[in-house]
Amino acid sequence: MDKNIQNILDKILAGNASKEEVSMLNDWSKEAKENLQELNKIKDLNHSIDQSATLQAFDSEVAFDRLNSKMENPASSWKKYLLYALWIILFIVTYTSISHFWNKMGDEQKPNIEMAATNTILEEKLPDGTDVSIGLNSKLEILDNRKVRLNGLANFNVTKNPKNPFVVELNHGNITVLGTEFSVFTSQNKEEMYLKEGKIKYTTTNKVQVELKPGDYVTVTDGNVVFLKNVPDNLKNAFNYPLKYTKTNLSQVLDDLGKHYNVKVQNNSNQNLDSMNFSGKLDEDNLKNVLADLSGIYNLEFKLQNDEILISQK
Amino acid sequence: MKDTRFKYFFDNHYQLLCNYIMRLGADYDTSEDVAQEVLLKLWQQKGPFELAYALTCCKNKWIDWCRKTSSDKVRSEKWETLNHNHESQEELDAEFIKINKLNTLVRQLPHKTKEVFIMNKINGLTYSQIAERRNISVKTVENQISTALKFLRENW
Repeated sequence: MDKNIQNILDKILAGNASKEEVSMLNDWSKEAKENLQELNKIKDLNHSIDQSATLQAFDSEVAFDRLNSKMENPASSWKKYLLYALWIILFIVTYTSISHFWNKMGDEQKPNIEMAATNTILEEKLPDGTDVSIGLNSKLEILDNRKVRLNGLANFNVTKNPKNPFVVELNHGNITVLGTEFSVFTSQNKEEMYLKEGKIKYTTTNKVQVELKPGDYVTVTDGNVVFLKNVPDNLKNAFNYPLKYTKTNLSQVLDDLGKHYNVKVQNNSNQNLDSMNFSGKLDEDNLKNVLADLSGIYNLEFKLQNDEILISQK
Repeated sequence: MKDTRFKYFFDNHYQLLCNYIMRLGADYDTSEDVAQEVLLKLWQQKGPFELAYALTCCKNKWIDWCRKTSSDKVRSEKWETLNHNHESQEELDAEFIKINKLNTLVRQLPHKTKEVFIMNKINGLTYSQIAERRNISVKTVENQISTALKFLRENW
C-alpha cells in the first residue's frame, strides 16, 4: 500500500485528516475493490473506537468483590437447601404412602400358596409343622397357618395344637383336626377319609357332623355319610406305592387308580368289572403304562382321555 | 476464588456487559445487577466464557427482570427505546463484539502507548492535555497515538 495513503488512513483514525486528504482517499478507494474494503475496515475500526468512547465506566473491582462474596456465601443458598429439604420430605411421604398402599394391596390380594402334585407324590411340611403327602394330580391350597383346601388325595400328619384346630376344606365339607394322622380323598362327586390315629371331626356343607375314631373309614356321596369297614388299600396305605392286589375285583382296582391319579373311571364296555379279578402290583408311575398293562391282561381297552379312564370293548 | 479463567473473563467483559444491558434500556444500577447475576451463573455452571453467549444471557436476564419488576407500560417503553436505537438485536450484538475486539487489541499495546491512546480516544483528552499530565512532549504523544492506530489498523 502507498505510504502516502497509509498516512492518510492513520490521520483519518487520528481524526486530523484535511478535506483534500479525505477526497484523495475517496478517489483511491474507487480504484480497486481491495481499496474500498480497506477504507471500510478503517471506518469500521473508527466507529468502534467512537462507540468505545461512549461506554459508561463501571468499577469492575468493586463488582468482582461483591460477586465474590455472593459466590462464597450465596444469599440464596438457604432457599436452595430448603428446596432440597422439601423435595426429600415429599419423596419420603410419597414413598411411604405408595409402599403402604402396595403393602395393603398385597395383603388383600396375596395369593394362597398352592401345592399341586402332577406326576409324582409331593411330600411337604406345612408352616405349622404338619406333614402332608399330596397324591398325583391333587392340589392343596394353604389358606392360612392351620387351614388348607384340598382337591384330590392327601395324607396329613397334623401337629397337635388344641388351641388352634387344623382345618381341611373339602368339596363337600370340612375336617376339623386337633392332632392326628389321616388320609383324605375329595373329588367332585365323592369324598373318602381314613383316620389312622387321634380324632377328627367332619362337617358336611349341610352341617351334618361326624366324629371319626382311629381306623374309621368314611365315604361321603351326595351329602350322605357312610361308615364302612372295608378300608380300600389305597387310602389305608395312601402313599404306599406300588399298589398290591390279591384277587381283588377289577372295579376296586380301577377305583384305586382313579383316586391315586385323581382321574375318573368310565366303563363303556358291557362287561361287569366286579366279576373280574386282579392279582399283582401296579408299580408304574405313569398311568398310561399301567393302562397299557391292563389292556394286555384283559380283553378290554383301557384308555386315558381328558382325565378319564375309558374302558371299552376291544 | 481460584478460577483464573473466570476472573479474566470478568475483568475484560464486565464493563461491556453492563453497557450492553444499559443499551437494552436498563439504568446504571440495574445493569450492574443483571450483569452480575449472569456472571454468577456462568461461574456456577463453569462457562462457557464467551462474549456472544454472555450477551444472550444478559438479554434473557434483562427480559426476565423486566417481566418481574415492570408494569406493562414501562416494559413496552423500554422495548421501544431498544427498538428505536437499533434496527436489530444482531446489529447491537455485532457492535459489542467489535468493541470487545478493539479492547482485546488495545490490551496488547505497550503500557504507555495504551495509556495515552485511552486518554485520547476514550477519555477525550487533547494531545497537549495528555502531554501536560504525563509530563511528556506533545510530539511523543503524537508518536504514541500513531503507533497505537497503526497497530489497530493492521490487526483489525
